[in-house]
Amino acid sequence: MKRPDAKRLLSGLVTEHAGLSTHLLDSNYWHQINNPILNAIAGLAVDKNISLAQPTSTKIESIDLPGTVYLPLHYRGKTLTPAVEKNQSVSRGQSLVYPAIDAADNTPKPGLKSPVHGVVSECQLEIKVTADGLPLRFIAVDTDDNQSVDTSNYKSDFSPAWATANTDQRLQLLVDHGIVGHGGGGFLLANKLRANIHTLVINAVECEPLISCDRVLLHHKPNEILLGILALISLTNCKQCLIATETSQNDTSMPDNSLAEAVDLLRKNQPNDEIDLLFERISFHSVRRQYPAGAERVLIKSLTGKVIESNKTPADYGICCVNVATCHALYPVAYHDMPPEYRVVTVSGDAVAKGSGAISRNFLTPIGTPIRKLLEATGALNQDDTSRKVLRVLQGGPLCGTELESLDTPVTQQTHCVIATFSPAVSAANACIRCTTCQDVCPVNLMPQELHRLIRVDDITAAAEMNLQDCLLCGYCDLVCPSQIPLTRQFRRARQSLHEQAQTRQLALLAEARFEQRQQRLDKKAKEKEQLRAERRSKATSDSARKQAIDAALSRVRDRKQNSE
Amino acid sequence: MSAIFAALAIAFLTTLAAWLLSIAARRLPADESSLVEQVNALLPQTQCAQCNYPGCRPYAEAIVNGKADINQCPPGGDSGIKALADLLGKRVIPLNDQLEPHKEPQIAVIREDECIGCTLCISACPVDAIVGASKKMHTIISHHCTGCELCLPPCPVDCIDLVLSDAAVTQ
Repeated sequence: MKRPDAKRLLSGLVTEHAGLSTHLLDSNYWHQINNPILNAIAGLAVDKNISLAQPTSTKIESIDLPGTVYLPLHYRGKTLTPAVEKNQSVSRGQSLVYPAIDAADNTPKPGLKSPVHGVVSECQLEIKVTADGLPLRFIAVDTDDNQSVDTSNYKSDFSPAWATANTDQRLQLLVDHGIVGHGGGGFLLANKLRANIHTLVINAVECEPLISCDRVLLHHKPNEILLGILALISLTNCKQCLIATETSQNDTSMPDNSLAEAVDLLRKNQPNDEIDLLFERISFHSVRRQYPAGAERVLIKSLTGKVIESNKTPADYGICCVNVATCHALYPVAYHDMPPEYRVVTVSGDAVAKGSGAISRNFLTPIGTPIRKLLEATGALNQDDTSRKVLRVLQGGPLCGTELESLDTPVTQQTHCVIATFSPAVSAANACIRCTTCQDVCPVNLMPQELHRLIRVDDITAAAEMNLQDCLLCGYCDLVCPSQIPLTRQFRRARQSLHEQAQTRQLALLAEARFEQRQQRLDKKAKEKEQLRAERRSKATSDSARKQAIDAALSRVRDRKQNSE
Repeated sequence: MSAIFAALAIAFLTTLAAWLLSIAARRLPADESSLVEQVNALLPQTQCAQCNYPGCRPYAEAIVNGKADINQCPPGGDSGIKALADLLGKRVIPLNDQLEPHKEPQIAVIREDECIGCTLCISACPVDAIVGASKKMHTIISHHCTGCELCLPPCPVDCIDLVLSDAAVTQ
């Protein structure tokens, strides 16, 4: 594959806005760039005359409930404490962990509810998810054969628990069900909604090539998504709800307007003033399918014109950006009081494509399914190729994805894409030549070449001062780097250690405060004791003085008696 | 003529500035308290007293007053020494080998069925991370524990273990 020249790349980029450039790469250029996975796929795409960026199939395939599901006992580097024991039988919707507060920032940790009926077979199963991290812990639940699923029957009234709850109680319900963002970041949804939200942005823009799970979901489950959105609107009481979908320029096979049609249908079927009022807040917007148009900050900028500053979150501006799959996950929570049971996962990569002819396949996957099962279903694991080439499996898209160490890693709420590829990882990187191409393409105006230099000399604090935190991890700089430096991987690691440093610092501050309070308390106690002792001493001395006075008086009396005699 | 005037003016201004600066340096005290704050901010706040000072702040004060070296903090380890050296413009030196060695972040855990409720560990804990009452079982609030090991020696039944902390396990 030919290397792209910077000019050609930049010609596909859109205009720059003040404060936040939206250098977005046109989908037509995907097959020219320097990503081994995309290159491998592009070879196929050229052969079969399929466009890379557009989803190739609207089909949604289902996958059997596996014998054992694995549920995560961790949230953003924190562990959750299991509330169940080995061999305990659990039912669907039963809480598996103790509710807990994150001490460092005083926000709740997510709960975890069992998505299946079954028996706990392991409480602290360790799975090595990535090669360079410590193993993460999971609960393993052996599933029963008899799963009485009740969310399949369509319901458009809130469940009693949701209907009677006030805002705080509803947020607590979201925490208890452990709803995290389905877009990949995996932040706890309730924490994003806690602020006063006036604008809700529903993100159905999946700009990363090969991924099509959100589009397929939109196509197949518009009603459930819409009900989820209504639950969000009634929860936040926002003034407007902007639904962002991507335009399909070349592709007419999958209409974008499933959701709009669902709105019309629901309004027709349920003529209800209250719901009408909610619907009036919804508006549809379309965004060109370019990368990284679906990143939270980029999307908010293009829809509302607001630039989220680097140390702030959208919630500080009264905006909340929610992935469309998260809205779908809200449907069972708000209408059935049950945790989400499935999510749509795109399985892609050249290993998958060779097996079936399709580039990306979408599976309605039970949450907790080991990724091995997904790959088995696509036939990626039982190919002759495996003997010759090394199969790499990535969790996430071809640009943002991280390589998996163990295929037992389960599909969680935030697993949107799995990629199986035979393309080798970027081989030895050359030295940075300071060409600043990465700086030109960075969608959030960072200087990746400088960050790279600082991280190499282990000066993460200085990198943080250059706004390392703002990096979207979009992988764009990796693509254009002529030296093939894995920049995003370095940034991800550096940010992780920054995050850890900040957490440690926060805990240290709390420890110091408690130490000082204790010191004051001990000082006060010691002072009180001292005071008490002093009082007693003075009392004792006064006692002896009085005794002396009495003795003196008695002796005077005695003297007088003797004198008178 | 104007050149001489300019030279004189500059000379006058420099003398004036030098005089003002020398007064300021004498009159205004050096801001030691904020330096103590900065040093203290780099210490891990375990309050473990392994540096032979009764807490992190006293050690920070000793460093600033030149009474202690920067390599006395085992929990801070080499990275802590490097941060202190950067702040104070000193040379990076290895941890004092007379002290405890550096360990990964850890927390204490009470084996609760063996606890006899003597309250000795509660009064030993520098950060109030242990709850319990006389003749009642004690437990450690794990996210408050700094892993200072000060509760180990007073325990009469040795029912306290040290385990790797949350942060060390998950990352």
